[in-house]
Amino acid sequence: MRFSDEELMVMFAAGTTDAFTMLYERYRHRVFRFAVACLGSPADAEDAVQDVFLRVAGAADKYQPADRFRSWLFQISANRIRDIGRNRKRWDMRNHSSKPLPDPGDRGRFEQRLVACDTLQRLLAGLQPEDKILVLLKELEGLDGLSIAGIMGLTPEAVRVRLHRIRAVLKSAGAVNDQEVSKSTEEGR
Amino acid sequence: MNRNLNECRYLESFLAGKLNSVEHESFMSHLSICAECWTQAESARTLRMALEPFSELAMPDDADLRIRIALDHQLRTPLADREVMDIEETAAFLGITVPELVNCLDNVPAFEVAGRIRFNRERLIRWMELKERGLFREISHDRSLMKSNILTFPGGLSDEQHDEKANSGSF
Repeated sequence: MRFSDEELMVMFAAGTTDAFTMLYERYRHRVFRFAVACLGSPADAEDAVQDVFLRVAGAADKYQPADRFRSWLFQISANRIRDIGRNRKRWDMRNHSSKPLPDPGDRGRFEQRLVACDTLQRLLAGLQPEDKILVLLKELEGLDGLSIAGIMGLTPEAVRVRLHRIRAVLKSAGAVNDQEVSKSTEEGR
Repeated sequence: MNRNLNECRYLESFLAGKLNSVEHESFMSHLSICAECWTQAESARTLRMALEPFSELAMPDDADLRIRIALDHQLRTPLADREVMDIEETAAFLGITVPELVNCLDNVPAFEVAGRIRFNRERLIRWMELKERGLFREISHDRSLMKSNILTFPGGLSDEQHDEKANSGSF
């Protein structure tokens, strides 16, 4: 029998820790992907995943079964990603380098795969952090406007208008990226 | 013109793949004449292509293990036994809200690690004890002012009168 997310959360709040493990296994990669896409750093994304699930565990008694677990989880994720983004900015201002990745083995291969995601980071570079979160909830996580509105504290209409504006910004960024790619290709010839 | 604007309303449904075949075909015709919708659709397509590598991206095993250990520790260790707390746990520990704690962070013993604020339970307890002593000093100071009749309210009791009344069981 497969329990719904909401059922598992209620079971966890009642003391069944295995229910929490199942939720973690269902969502760890999704939260990780969302965090990598938002933050552009796997090390920061790992921290985010840990914090998000620690907070979910700590806030189980505050969870309302009427709320969709996924929206609640991504609301916590978005909050944590904002915090990490702010902290990182503060650390960058103090001239600290970003956290090095420890293991050159698997980590190296993992990083190589992430290089393929540079396009995304260039594309999203012109967006405000809030817009980045919003558009990734939509396009990466596939949430509908109503859920995004709940997560971001906006009205559904405001979400629609902001998505419209974000896409206009992304279109310009995409055009610049295309030009850069074709220029570097021509220079390489 | 009106028809064109009406068609624009179907953009989100088109992007979400929720149009049936007839509606889809109709919207494709609309895209060829509406620059605004074309830009929106093209932008969404570019972003989705850039997001494709993420669909198979999984968290590394070593990170997964580290997080499982941390979660296991949290699930097994009640809040009362935790020595290092984050801001939410500390706010709950002090019986105040997170924004209230943030507002008085300069006065609360805390430390920063990996760009995050953490609180040592033992130091918090020591700090609270010091605060209590400070508060007692303030109360004592107020009482001494009351004794010198500077703060004696009309009809009120002095400390001596209060103590006498308490000892005689009049309260």
